[in-house]
Amino acid sequence: MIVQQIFNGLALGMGYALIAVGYSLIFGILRLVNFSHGAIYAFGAEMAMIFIGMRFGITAGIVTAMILTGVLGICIDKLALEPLRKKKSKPIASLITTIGISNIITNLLIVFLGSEKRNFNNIFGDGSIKFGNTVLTHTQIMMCLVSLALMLILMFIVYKTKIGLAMRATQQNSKAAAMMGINVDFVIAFTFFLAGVCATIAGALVGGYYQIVYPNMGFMAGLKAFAAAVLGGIGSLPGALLGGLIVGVSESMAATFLGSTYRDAIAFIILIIVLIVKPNGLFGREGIKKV
Amino acid sequence: MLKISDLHTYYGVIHALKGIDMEVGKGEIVSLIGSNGAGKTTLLNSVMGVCKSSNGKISFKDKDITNISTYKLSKLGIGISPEGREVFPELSVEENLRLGAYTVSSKNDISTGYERVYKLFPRLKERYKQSAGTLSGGEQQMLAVGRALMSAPELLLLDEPSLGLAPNFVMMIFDMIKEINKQGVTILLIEQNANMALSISDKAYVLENGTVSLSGNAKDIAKDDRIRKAYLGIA
Repeated sequence: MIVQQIFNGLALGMGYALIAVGYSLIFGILRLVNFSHGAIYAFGAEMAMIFIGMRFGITAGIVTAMILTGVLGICIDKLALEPLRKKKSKPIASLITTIGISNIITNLLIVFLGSEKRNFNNIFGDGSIKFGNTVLTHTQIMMCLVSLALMLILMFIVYKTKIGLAMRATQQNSKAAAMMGINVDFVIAFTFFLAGVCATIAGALVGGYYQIVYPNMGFMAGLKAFAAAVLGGIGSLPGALLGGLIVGVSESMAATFLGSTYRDAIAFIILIIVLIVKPNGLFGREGIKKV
Repeated sequence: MLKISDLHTYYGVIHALKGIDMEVGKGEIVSLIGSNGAGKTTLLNSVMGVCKSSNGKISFKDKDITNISTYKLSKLGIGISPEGREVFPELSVEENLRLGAYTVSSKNDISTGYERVYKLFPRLKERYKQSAGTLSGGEQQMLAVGRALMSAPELLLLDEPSLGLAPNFVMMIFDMIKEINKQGVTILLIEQNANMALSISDKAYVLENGTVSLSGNAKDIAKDDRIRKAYLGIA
């Protein structure tokens, strides 16, 4: 029973982790909590459903959705956030803007697609593998594998490529990065694109897991993933992964042992406890170093 | 090589630069001296496109670069070592240098860049794996200059390279500046340490309240009575 719940939680947690990296990537670069990220995730899931439904085939459908959602992220930055940066406005203005964007995206999805919950076909089929009493569905296994692979790709991009080096430089000192010849606006746009891509894959996986997609799905998932990102130490990729897994496992444990009423609360209870004990999160850095 | 004519820049309502004319010729070391608040850093920021100028023209190799985006300078051949060094504290020395060569695409040129910098500053080679934030102030200054050299610039902008350094490091940094100049790099040096700056420069400009109050041969300026009183502390 416990083992089963741990596996259920890990699969779910991988989904949260993929959303959480989006928060972390953008926070790392802009020191901004992008509250529209939950809506981007819902947008990605809806797009994945639409394009898979258009007989594009699963891979082509998801790739199309990934690109579209990534471009949505870039548009948000170019249209709403970049003008604020250019005016050197206060950080709180950008933060509130992202909340507004979140509402705009969610409501546009409702206007064009309707607010009802729609059935999302299980991408990976209904098969399962049994280990004694524990049942692992193909969907759960694939969720873990795909998420893990994506995490590794993301780490490779950030730590081993030239654009990754530019991202890390921009994180630490965007003024000096520009002096090195780095086009900081491009790096930020690229980061929004990556966050959108990850959110789409998370949307397709979690949507496929629950076999349901709806415009408001990003609200709770976004908040929980934000909790996961803060829990792991916002700005840190391994932190987002660990935070997502902790939130996922504790949620599925809470649903079993405390009743499903508490499943949504548990992520935030853990978040509060961790922040009291370790204010920078599990992998968080000690504030921002000044030299 | 770098030509500034009738440049005006405002900081909000403050008229920080009031018509600056300046020229840096190929192969020269030109120093820009002046007290705090005279407009030295504003002038440099205007050249870098960080501050937008309202009037006037800046050109580099006869190309207009007035109000250019900062990131385009590196590709044009301008290297910058900013005030306060601004190294990337959590990246290693090597990664900092790699970023200096961000606009360089040829692998050969990048390794030539490493060789050149490590030859000038052997200390950086010893610490290439160390994160830049753990270096001493003098070492960070070497790193900032080395990083600016990685793109093999024709013009190097050095903003206050001696600021906050121990005297032996100041001597060393100025020796390095001469050495870099000998390798064919034109240098614009912004300094508070007027004495040292004038001793290695060909030409100098003295900035006061946003205007050039005196300019000419560095040796002549070092002998000028007003300058000796105001900046060199010699009565």
